[in-house]
Amino acid sequence: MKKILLIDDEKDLVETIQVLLEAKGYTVISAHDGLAGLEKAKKENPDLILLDVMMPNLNGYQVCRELKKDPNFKNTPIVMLTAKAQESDHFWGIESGADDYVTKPFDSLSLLETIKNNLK
Amino acid sequence: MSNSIFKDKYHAAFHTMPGAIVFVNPATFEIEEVNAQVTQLTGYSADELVKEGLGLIDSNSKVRQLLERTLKEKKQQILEFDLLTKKKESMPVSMRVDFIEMEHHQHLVLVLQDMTKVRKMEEMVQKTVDQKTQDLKLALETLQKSNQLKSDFVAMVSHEIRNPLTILKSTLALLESSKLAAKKREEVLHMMMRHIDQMIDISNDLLDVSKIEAGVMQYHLEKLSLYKLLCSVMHHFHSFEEQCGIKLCVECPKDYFIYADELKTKQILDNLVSNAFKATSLGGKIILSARSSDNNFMEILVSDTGCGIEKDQMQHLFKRFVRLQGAGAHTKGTGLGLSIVKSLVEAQGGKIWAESEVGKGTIFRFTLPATAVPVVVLMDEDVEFCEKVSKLLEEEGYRVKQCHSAFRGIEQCQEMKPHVVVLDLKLSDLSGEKVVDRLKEMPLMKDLPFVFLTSQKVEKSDEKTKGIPVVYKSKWEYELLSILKKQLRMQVQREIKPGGSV
Repeated sequence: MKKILLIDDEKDLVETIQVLLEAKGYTVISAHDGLAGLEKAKKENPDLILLDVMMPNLNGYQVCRELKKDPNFKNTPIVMLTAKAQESDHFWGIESGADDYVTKPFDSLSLLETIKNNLK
Repeated sequence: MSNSIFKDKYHAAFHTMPGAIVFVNPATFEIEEVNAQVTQLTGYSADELVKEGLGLIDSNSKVRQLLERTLKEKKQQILEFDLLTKKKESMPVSMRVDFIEMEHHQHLVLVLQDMTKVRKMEEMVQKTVDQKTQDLKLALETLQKSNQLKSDFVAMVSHEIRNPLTILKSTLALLESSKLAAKKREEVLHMMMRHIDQMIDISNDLLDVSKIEAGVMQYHLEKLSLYKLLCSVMHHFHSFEEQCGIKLCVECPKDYFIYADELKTKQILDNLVSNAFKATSLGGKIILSARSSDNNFMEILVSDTGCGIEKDQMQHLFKRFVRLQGAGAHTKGTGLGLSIVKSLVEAQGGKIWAESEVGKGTIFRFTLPATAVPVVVLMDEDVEFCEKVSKLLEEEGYRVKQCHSAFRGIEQCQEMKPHVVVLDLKLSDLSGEKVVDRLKEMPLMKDLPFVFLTSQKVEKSDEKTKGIPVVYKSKWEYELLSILKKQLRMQVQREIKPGGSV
């Protein structure tokens, strides 16, 4: 069973996505800010990370950059959840080493699709 | 013309012309002759100058060097330098040197001009330019800052709206796809409701801000029982009290009244109290209280025992788009709440301020009128007459805003939201009737009563004055007050609802 780490400060969103993903057979673990997310990633070694951008204690880009520096995470796909649809966000996402992104508000089908593609 | 007459004429011209002129021998550089203006300029007599030579006024040989260059290049030279006068004062002068030949004699002619005034003028201009440059720089910085704030605001609004939308979209998928247990289903529906409410709050804030900016926020002033108002706010937060473990209470005498818009005042209190709830932790206390302050105002206090606000954050408290950092910071919200509150208080004639101590709590205080103070905008170009009218009206308990042009008056009407406008029929930038037309076009002002002032006889024609009463300036003292009272009574009746209190 694939393990997904979801890092987002919006607890309701974390809960909803968790139920959705669990229904599709994924194991979901979560963290509510950047720093906690970083620690959880190192401890739990997930197969994929869903990462929000605007968060307290390290934003999404910072977390992404930190993780990609670590050889253990070189092949772990990181999908950014951006709340802004601006080009610059995608640029910064790629620049900090993210593998893919989903723009909020996303629908569950495209989220599931993106997760499936990146786990291949 | 004989030689001697020519010489006399030359002599007279030489000494009376306004320029200071020095003749110098090009071979020896000795001074041959100076006119009266040179004496005046330098303080040295002609004899002293001729005897002592250029060295007297040319301490660092700058003049000497220029004379040499004039001889070498055989063309006019100009120099600005500081001349040392007999009183040992330094005087900025401009000097022109020409090489001339007359009657087989060669001369160097030096024309000196005192530059003190010019320099002073230059300095003044420079100072003004520097000052204006500084002002412009400051204005630019302010603009850039407010521009940055606006971009941040757009990013923030987009974040605040996209987040609940994301949740709604995901929860809908959840409801649609899986077989949720009834309890979980209820939880999800509650979550959706919460986020929809959040989006409604955001859109309300945005709507309020745009109304305030456009100046179309409407206020229906009426007499309100402050005690009842505070109690109704307290009841509104009753469920929060239990949820957060915070005590909310009202301390207010029952005979306190304010003259304000009920919904707007509740909105102000709702905002302050919900902020207090966010800042206060379990076991804390929030008190809504009131005291009678001077000048017919009531002061309303919202105090909490919360985390307090850092000193350096206090100045940004009521600014638009600014959200607090550090202690007392909340991640939710548009950063508009308190700026809206400030506008709502000020538009009703009040003031708002806050006191806070980190770790101890915060008190927000605002004032609202305790009695109906009618606001009059007075438009008349005659400043003296305006003063006289203002003085009398203020003695009678009116608040008067004087405007000496129609355009200024229209501007003031938008800002002050007066209860009645008194204006001259013949303002030079716009006639009185046109001002009335202009104001009646604005939604907020369409029911505003007017009184015309005039110094000329007006034919009793409703066509011209639109049924608006006209007061003659020759006997305004007798008429104005009673007509104002009549006009205002009409309006007050319109505003107060039957039974008019909370």
